[in-house]
Parts: sequence; C-alpha cells; structure tokens
Amino acid sequence: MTDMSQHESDALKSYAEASGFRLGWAKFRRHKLAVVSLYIVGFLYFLAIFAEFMSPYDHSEINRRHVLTPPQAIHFVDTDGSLALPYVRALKGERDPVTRRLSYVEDDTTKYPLRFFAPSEPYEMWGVIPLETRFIGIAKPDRKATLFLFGTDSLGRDVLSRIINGARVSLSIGLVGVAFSFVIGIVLGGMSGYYGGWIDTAVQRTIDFLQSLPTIPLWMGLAAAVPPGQDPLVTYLMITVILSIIGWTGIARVVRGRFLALREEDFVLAARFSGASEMRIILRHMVPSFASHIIASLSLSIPEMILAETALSFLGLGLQSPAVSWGVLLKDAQSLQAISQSPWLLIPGLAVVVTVLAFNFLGDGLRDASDPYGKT
Amino acid sequence: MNPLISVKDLSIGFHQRHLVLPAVENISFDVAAGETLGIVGESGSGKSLSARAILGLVPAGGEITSGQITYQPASGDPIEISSLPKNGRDIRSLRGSKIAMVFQEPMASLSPVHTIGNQISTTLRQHTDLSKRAALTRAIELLDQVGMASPAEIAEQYAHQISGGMRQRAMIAMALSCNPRLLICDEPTTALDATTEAQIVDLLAKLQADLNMGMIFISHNIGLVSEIADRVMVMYLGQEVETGPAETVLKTSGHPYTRALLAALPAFTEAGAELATLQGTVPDPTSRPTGCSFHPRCPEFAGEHCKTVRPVLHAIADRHCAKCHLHD
Amino acid sequence: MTAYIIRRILWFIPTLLAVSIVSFAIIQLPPGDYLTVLEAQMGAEGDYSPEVVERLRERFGFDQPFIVQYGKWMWAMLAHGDLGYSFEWRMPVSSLIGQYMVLTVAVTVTTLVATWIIAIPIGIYSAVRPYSAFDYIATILGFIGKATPNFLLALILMWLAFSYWGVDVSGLFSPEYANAPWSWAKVGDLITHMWLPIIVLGTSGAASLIRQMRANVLDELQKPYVEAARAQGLPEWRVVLRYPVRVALNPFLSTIGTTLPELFSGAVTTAIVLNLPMAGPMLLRALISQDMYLAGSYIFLLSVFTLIGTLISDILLTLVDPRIQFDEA
Repeated sequence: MTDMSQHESDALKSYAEASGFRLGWAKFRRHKLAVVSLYIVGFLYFLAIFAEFMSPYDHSEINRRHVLTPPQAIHFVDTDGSLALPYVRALKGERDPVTRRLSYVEDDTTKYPLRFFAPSEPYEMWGVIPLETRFIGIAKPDRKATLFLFGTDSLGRDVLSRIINGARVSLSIGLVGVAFSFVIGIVLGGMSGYYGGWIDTAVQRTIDFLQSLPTIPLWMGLAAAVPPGQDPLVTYLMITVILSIIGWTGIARVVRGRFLALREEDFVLAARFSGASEMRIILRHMVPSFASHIIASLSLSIPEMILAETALSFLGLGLQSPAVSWGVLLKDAQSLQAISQSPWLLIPGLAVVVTVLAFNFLGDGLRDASDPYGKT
Repeated sequence: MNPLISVKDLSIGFHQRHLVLPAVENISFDVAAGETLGIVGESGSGKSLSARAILGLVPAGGEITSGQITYQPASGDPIEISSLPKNGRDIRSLRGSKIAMVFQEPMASLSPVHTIGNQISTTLRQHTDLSKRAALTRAIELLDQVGMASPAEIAEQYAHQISGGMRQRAMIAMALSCNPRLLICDEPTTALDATTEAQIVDLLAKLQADLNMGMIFISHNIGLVSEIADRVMVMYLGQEVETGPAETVLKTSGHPYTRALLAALPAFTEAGAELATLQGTVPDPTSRPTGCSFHPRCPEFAGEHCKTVRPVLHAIADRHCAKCHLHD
Repeated sequence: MTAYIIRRILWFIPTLLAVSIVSFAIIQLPPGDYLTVLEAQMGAEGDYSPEVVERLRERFGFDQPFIVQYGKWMWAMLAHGDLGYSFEWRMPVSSLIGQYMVLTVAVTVTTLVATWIIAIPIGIYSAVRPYSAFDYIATILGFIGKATPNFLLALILMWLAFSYWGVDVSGLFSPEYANAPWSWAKVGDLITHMWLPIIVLGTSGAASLIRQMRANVLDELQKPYVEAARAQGLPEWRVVLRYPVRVALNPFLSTIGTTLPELFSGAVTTAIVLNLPMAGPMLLRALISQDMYLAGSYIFLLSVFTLIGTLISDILLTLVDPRIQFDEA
C-alpha cells in the first residue's frame, strides 16, 4: 500500500466514523428522556466533584443544638404579605412537657436572607484549595442562623451537605466498579468470543454459574471478610472489587456476542489476510466497531453497582461511618422509630432513585443510538 | 345473480401525521363462483392490501376511505363488508368460513407452538359445533385432500418439523376447512422452489374446480397468474392499470406496464431475444408522480400530457380496459 | 428431549459442587480460626472445656489444609445433613436454620407466583394498547420500581403504614403466634402478614417482567401468524391469548433463571429491614459476628434453592416449547 492510498483510506475511515457518530447522536437526541437524564447525571457528577463548595455546610460538622431538625423552608413572602428575596427563619427548639421530645418551630421574628457565594467558615476544597465561600448560604450568618434544607441527622449534621458529599462515593463507585468489571469482562469475553472452543465453553459456564447465584448474600459474605477499621479508601476499593466479581459477567456476554458476530465480518478477514497481528486486529479493527455497544451496556451497569453499594453500606457491611455514601446515610433510617420521627432521613434514598432512573434512561438512549442504522 | 364478491371504487388510505396517503385508489372488480381473478403488481402496488380489505383486515393506521365491498351469501341479502365494524362478530363469521385466505410465508403464518392438526381444528371449531375429536378427524381428512402422504402424522407435527411445500398444503387445508366460497391466495408460492410452486398451483386450480370456489390469486409473477386465472387485473401504485380476460391481456395488452412485465418473462420472449428489464423502481407513495403515475418509467412515453393529465380507464375491447393515454 | 433433560440434571451436580466450594471459601475467608475465638469466648465466660475444643478441632479439621476441611464439611453434610456448628448460638447449624429457610423459600416462591399473576396481564394489556394512558402509567411505575432498592421500598411502605394507619407492619407473625407451634390459625396469620414482603420483593421483578412481556407480545403481534389467526375468524382476545401470548410466555419461563437470584437477594435485605423471621437477619448477624458456618450455610442453601429453581424452569421450558433445539445443551 502506498503512502497516498493509506492516507486516503484513513481519511475515508474518519469520515465514516464521524458520520456514524453523528447518526448516533442525532438518534440519541430524539430520545427526550435520555437527553434530560444526561443533564441530570452531568449535574450530579458536577455536585460530587465540587461537593465542598456546593454543599452549605461541612458534611461532618456536628451541631448539638440542632439535632434531628426537620427541613427548613425557603420563604419568598414576608410576614406582611409582600414579596421578598429568598430567606429562612431561625429555628426554636421546644420540649414537649410530657414526652420530653424536642421539636422545632420557626421563629417568625427572625429573617435571614440567602445569597449565592455566601461567606462561610474556612475550609479546603479537595483538601488543598483554601476557600471561605460556599455556593449558597446565609448572607449575614449569626449564631442562631441555620440553613438545613433537608433537615439534620441525630448528630445535627446537615443532611443536604451529607448527600452532596456522599455522592462522591456513591457515584464514583459505579464508575470504578464498572471500570474493573470492564477490564475483566473485555478480556474474558473477548477471549471467549475470539478463540471459541474450550475457552469459550469454560468462560460461558463460569458466567452462567455466577449469574445464577443470589448476589446480595454472596456480596454480604465477601464484604464481611473485609477487615474493619481500615483506611476508608482500602475498604472502598475492596468493595468495588467484590462488586466486580459478579459485575463483569454482563459485559463479558456483550463483548463475546460482538466478537462472535465480528469474527466473520469481511473487514476482519481482510485484515487477517493482509497479515495484521491478532492483537492489532482486535484493537484496531474490532474494538472500535463495538465501542458504542460497550458504552451503552456500561452505562446500564453503573446503576446496578450504585444500588449494590447502597445495599451493602445500608446493611453495615460496606463503607462505615465516618465515610459518607448514600448507603451509609440510609443506615440512619433503618428503624421504624427513626423514620417515623424524622422521615427526611429517607431523602438520600430519593437521590439513589433519581440517579438510578437517570442512568437507566441514559443507557436506553445510548443503546438505541449505538445502533444508528436500526429501526426507530 | 350477483357475483360472489363485488368491489366498487375501493380506496384505502394510511394516516401519516396530518395527511392520508392513498395506498389503493378507486379499484373495482368482481369475482363469481367458480371464477379465478388474478391480481398482478410489484410490491407496493396495493394488491395484498385490496385482498385483505375483503376480510376486513386493513392494518392499523389504514382505513377504507371510499367505495364498497359487497359479499353475496348463498341465500339472503348481500352483505356490505366495508361497513361492518372492524373485528366485529359479523365480519369474523365470514373470515375463515365463507372467505378464507392462504398467506405468503407458510412458516411465519402458521403458529410455531401449535400442531398442524390443532390449528386446523381451531378454525373448524370456531365456525362449526364439531367436537374436538370430530374436528381433528375432519382436519386429517382435509390434510389428505390437499395431498399429504400421511395426514394423521402431519396433524401431530409442528410447522418447523415439515417441509415448505407441506406447510403451504397445511395452510391450504386450514383455509379449506369450512368450505369457503371465496379463497384468497396472497402470493402463495413466493416462498417455495419452482417444482413445489407448480405443484401448489396445480393443487389450487384443482381444488377450485372441484369445490366451485371463487378465487383471487395474487402474485407479482404475471406468467404464473396467467396459468391459473380466468381474468387478470394489473395494479400499479394502488391503481388498476389494466383489466381483462387472461388470454386477452397476455396477447393484446393494452398498457405499457403490462407489456413491460410480459417482456421480462422468458416464456413470453422469442428465443434468442434479450430479456427486457423494467427501468427504475416503484416510486415512494409519498412522492407519487403527477399525471400518469407510470410516466417516469414508461418505455412508451407519449408526450407532455402523460406528465400532467391523469389517464382514465378506457374500454378497449369486450371486458378489457386499460388506463393509458395511448387509448385517448 | 429426555436425553436433554437428563443431561441438564447431570450438569446440576458440578454446579452444586462449585457452589459448595464458593460457600466454603466464604466460610474460610475471615482470618484466624473459630476455635481461637471460641476458646477466648469460653475463657471469658469461665466455662472453658478442653474436651469440647478438642472434639471440634477433630470434627472440622481446623489444623488441616483447606481441601481436607472442605471434604469433612461436605461429607458431614451429605452423610448426616450436618451443616456445621454455630459458635454464636452454640448449636448445630442445621437445627438452627430449618424454619427460617422454609419461610424464606415460601415467601420467595409466593412472590414469584404473585409477580407473574400481576405482571403477565399488565404486560399483555400494555402491548395490545401501546402508548395508551395505561401503558404510560405502567411504564413509569415500572421504571421507578426498578430503580428503587428493596430495602428502601420496605422502609417507605413501613413509614407510610405507620404514619397513616399507625400500625407496625414488620414481622411475619402477630406477637401471639410468633413462638406458637404451627397450626392453621398460625398459617392464616402468616398469610395476612405476607402482603408487605411480597409487594416489596415483587415490585422490581414485576416491573422488569412487565417490560419484557410487553416487548415480547408487541414483537409477536407483528408476526404474520397473528394476521392468519385473524383471517381464521377468531375473536381478537383469542387471537392475542392463543398465539402471541402463548409464544411470548416461553422466553418468560426462562426469566425464572434471572428472577429467582434477584428474589433471594432481595429477600435477604427485605427480611432485615422488615425484621422477618427469614434468612436475612440471622445471616447478617452471623456475618457481623463472623459465625462462619452459620453464614456459609445460609449462603450455600440460598444458592442451592436458586439453582434448583433455575433447573426446574429450564426443564419446564423444554416441555413447553416445541422449538427448543435439544442438541444444543
């Protein structure tokens, strides 16, 4: 092949890829729910990345004078009925004389306007950048002023700030877990589909076997063996590895299926006849042609990982406090007594449901788009 | 005596967004008992749709926009099929009993999860009060009648276990189960090889004569239709372009489209002469050509008025009509 | 076909072996052996007896390699139905978990049946009337059901029941029956308590089954044999039920293989939240206190029941669908 024709064929190839991508994108755009979900997922990851700045408080800041306060309302109307800039009121604790239970009421006489880029106690973003501003907060805070939009937990910590910070673990565990699963899945699934024969049989049987096991008891058994009291990062990684032990099977199935279909395709045969090495054939020719399918199936695996971590941490077998994840937060809502008195402790569950829904719709949209020539 | 089935000015349209796309426009034909009408056309010509309309089976999204389909029962008043409620009791009592249909792909048209005998007896039991056992006995008789070698065994088998020709015979047996007066065959041999095709066509012709049924035989193959039909209707883009006795249409075709179809057949071309092929493809129904729909492909294009003026159906001989400006 | 079924049953044996190895590996995972723990515990409680420790050491082969310990565990299980010893409860595992496993299987199987009874008609109706209001509602509920983890749904329902009717819906029995011997009245009490676990467990499975049934039936409705059935003169409901639904039910049977592991998984978390006398709470407690024979036995038995369910569904599928290729296996 001369340099000239090589150059031409590359140009043609990039043109074909671009138009394939454009077709897929056009198709994805038609899937309205998937587009909305893409924005939601993007927003959630943005929150997770800039968690310290986006949350109104430090997630571990204990506030003994405001234990289990209900969510505070943002007011737009003044006591005299006129419109006002958004503000909150101070909370007064009142103890029931009989049950001795503390309840909180708003103090009508106080008014704390809110603002963006509000001043705060000094803190460090990502542990390095010192800041004294938070995205939202009370314009002129004093000792009585509080902004607990989702209420507080039994130690007086702000639930909203904990959810935003918990998103870091909950959202990243999906990505990291899927990355692990992806590596195992693509290697084993690829071998299975590419070589066939006994390797295929062995991998397929293993997948069948793993998929027929009830995952949660198995995960629980494995997670229970993770020694407690370790560095949270180590626990985090071990949990992800445990989740990937079963997580890779779905991805391996997809990869194998695509390999089987592609093995006989003309362009793969052509590459082989022209003497390209096996590795080159796989990486240069086969992987790009099913990348879109893989991306779609990965985006459908992420929510499963998120749900699994949430369940394990909820049961106390995953991450442990002081680490925060949505599962760890939901652990506070485990008893009927806790949720009947402080139902806002269930809000982290809402975050889980929204995230999982968004990922599912996104995955559906990507799956449709990954097949640009398919019908509707 | 009225004909068995009479179709008058039938138009069928499909709703798409705010407009109605015409799929069949103003076609008319009659079929009498003991007579075979052949309908010929390329795919998209509306031939299958017209036939399905007789059974009230216009697919979702489509509807009869004008015209009547009238069925004349053996005794009593004629029934106007086109005004019966869709899938209602009245039309269902005709389907499969008085008017039956043989479909294109027997493999796909037979249930994959019921035995052949079971499917035939279902039709029987729907329209008669035969017992389960009696229906099965009758099903085996029918399988015998359509030339199955061991009907009792076939009745026990599933569609995927028997050959293509046998499947189509089973479909025919199912259609014949309630002694229909009109049999509609929608491309019954398309999925079969040439030898089996000939056997099935012979079988249909024989059964039709024996049972004195009216028959509508739909095909894209004008040669095949001419073998079995008494009369032929040629359709193009939802319109009938030529109608007449089979013999006349073959020998003195009145429409360039018919002539083009015939010229593409080896049997109708002189030995050694080159086979003609029809230029172009059937246009999309959304972009129907102006004037005569066939003008962009017409080998005998006659001038500007073909592009602008819609031709009407001209009688060119006894019972022989063609829709072409050549006869103006 | 018989050959296929026999082969499928034979294949069950190596699968069981694999499950037993995985379960035993989990038993072995935590560092240290139980005797050290037990000795410390007995010592602390002042009832240390060297004979007991020695007997247990001999019985489980604690000082021997993995394979020998595994062999002893398997042999005891096969020969005597002995699943090992719970160090926390100081009781043989087999006498401890019987009733809990029975209730787990009972609730799971009931849920499976309930899921089908609900999901199949809804799925069919959604397919026959696609894009209707009903279809959209079913779709939305289905997506939410799939995205809500079991334990969260259990918490929410428990909270709603408590705040609107003031009842505590946890548990599987009323207090007066909890420790009573089995009687018809106790069975009746169980049935009245079972609806909540069934809703919690069944929702996510039902949601995906509805989607699947809808997609399958929609697919089948496009097939020519449906029109052929209409041309036979069958009424529309018979056309739908006799052909597309019948065909769509087959892949449905094979979903038992994926539904059952999910149900057993869900049953564990649900039982923990709702405090049901099922496998979950005791398994969790055993895992936390590292009472490994008890935990491993639970994991083993839950897996075995799942595998049996899958085996049954595979066999049913071959009996029901004439198109299955038996040479595949």
